[in-house]
Amino acid sequence: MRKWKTVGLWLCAFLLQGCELIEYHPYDTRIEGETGLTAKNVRLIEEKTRGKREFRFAMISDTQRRYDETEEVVDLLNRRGDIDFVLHGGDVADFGETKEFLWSRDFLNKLHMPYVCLLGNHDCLGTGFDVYLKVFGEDNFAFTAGNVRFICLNTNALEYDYSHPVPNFDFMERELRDWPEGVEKTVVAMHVPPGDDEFNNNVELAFEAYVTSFPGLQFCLFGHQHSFQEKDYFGDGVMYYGCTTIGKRGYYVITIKEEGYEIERCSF
Amino acid sequence: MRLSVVLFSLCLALLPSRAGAQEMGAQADSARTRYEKMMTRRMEMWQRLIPDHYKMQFAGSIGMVSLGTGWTYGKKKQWETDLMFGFLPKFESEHHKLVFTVKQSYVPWRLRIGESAWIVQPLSCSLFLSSVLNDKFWTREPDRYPKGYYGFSTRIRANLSLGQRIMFDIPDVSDWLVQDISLFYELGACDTDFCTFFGDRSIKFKEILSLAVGVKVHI
Repeated sequence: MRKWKTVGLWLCAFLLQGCELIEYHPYDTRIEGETGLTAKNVRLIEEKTRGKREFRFAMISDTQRRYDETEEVVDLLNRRGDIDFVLHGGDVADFGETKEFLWSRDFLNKLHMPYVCLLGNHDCLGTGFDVYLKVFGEDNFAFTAGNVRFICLNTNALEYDYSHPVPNFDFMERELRDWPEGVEKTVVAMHVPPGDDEFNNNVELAFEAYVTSFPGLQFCLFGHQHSFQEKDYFGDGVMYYGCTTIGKRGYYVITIKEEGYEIERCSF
Repeated sequence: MRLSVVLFSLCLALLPSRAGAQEMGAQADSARTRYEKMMTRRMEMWQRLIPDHYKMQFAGSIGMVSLGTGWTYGKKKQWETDLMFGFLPKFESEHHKLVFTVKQSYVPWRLRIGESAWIVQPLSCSLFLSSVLNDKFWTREPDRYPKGYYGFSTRIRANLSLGQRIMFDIPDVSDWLVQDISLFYELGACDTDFCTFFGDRSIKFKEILSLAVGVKVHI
């Protein structure tokens, strides 16, 4: 009789411990914990920067399978205390597996300031895109920080094989049409820059035409290429700034000023 | 595709054995000819392809619930090969999915508890390959990608797992229709999990482990 009690106890302990160990498949899209992060953080960013004409944000990118460095940079940005929000340039996952998104979310949630995450090409693998939509939100989104509209775009055309509009010109058109009152400047952010193998280069000129039609365009930001870059890609005076991977221990700190902006390459 | 191969082999295994049995009955008394010996050998060979156990498993990274069949073999019945189909509900994705798994296990020890019918198998080691039967997943990167763009397969996962079992060795098979029934659990991780774990200190080993529990019925 006692033997059975012991077995029962062991079984209970085992089952309790077991709950965390249950995975139906690496791509099962079974999500526990917080979802809809983009919508929540966009609200926080807009509240925090409302009425400001000067503010500062950080950009990190390509944190896939680099949780050590992600943890470090989160700590570092928290300690700085002068960052209003963080922009993640995409690729939070490497294989597109469900748990990679959840691990990344949990590390990034330790930021004391709101953050938004772009969609990277690695985030699209397997069922990654479904998980991204649930955990973060839409792949194309925009928000207003102070007097600047941030247009965040999915540019990972190669992942979709024409099954999904990438880049989404309808979205850009809608943004232009429903331009919020009082917003004077624009920053366009994307994971893959024009000219990259992953970009739909057939439409790069159309893309640039849309990008340059945004009011007070300041510059474009991208990730993906795992190195710091600075180029006037179309030769039309629009600067494209590439943020390196967190694995190379670098990030940007960008200050939007009354007149112009400052962009600083930081390493740790 | 793979399923049809398995079914075809099963049919082959069953058909000649029936035909052979009738012939053998008719000529039971006379000396066996070369032809009969060959047929017997052939029959025995194909009969080995008849699976002798069934499994049902919960979780373990190959679907929510998986059903499978396979072979228990070796001098001490220490080897096991399974073919399994797992059902993966869609959750946040578009479709429900099926996962096909080929699994090879080694169960080295059987320890009988006293004189009872219970047997503990303190260790099982398994290696298995799973494949998501859904065309969103690829074995090799589609042609649109530059060569070696991602360098891994989203469809095939290779897993390693260790586990334990408790078996009820049925004393008189004639009444039961099965030889033994075992309950098992396994803890495993897949290739991409190991990749993450070894590249990073922040992810603990516990976080990459996946638990499976199940039952095996040996006929």
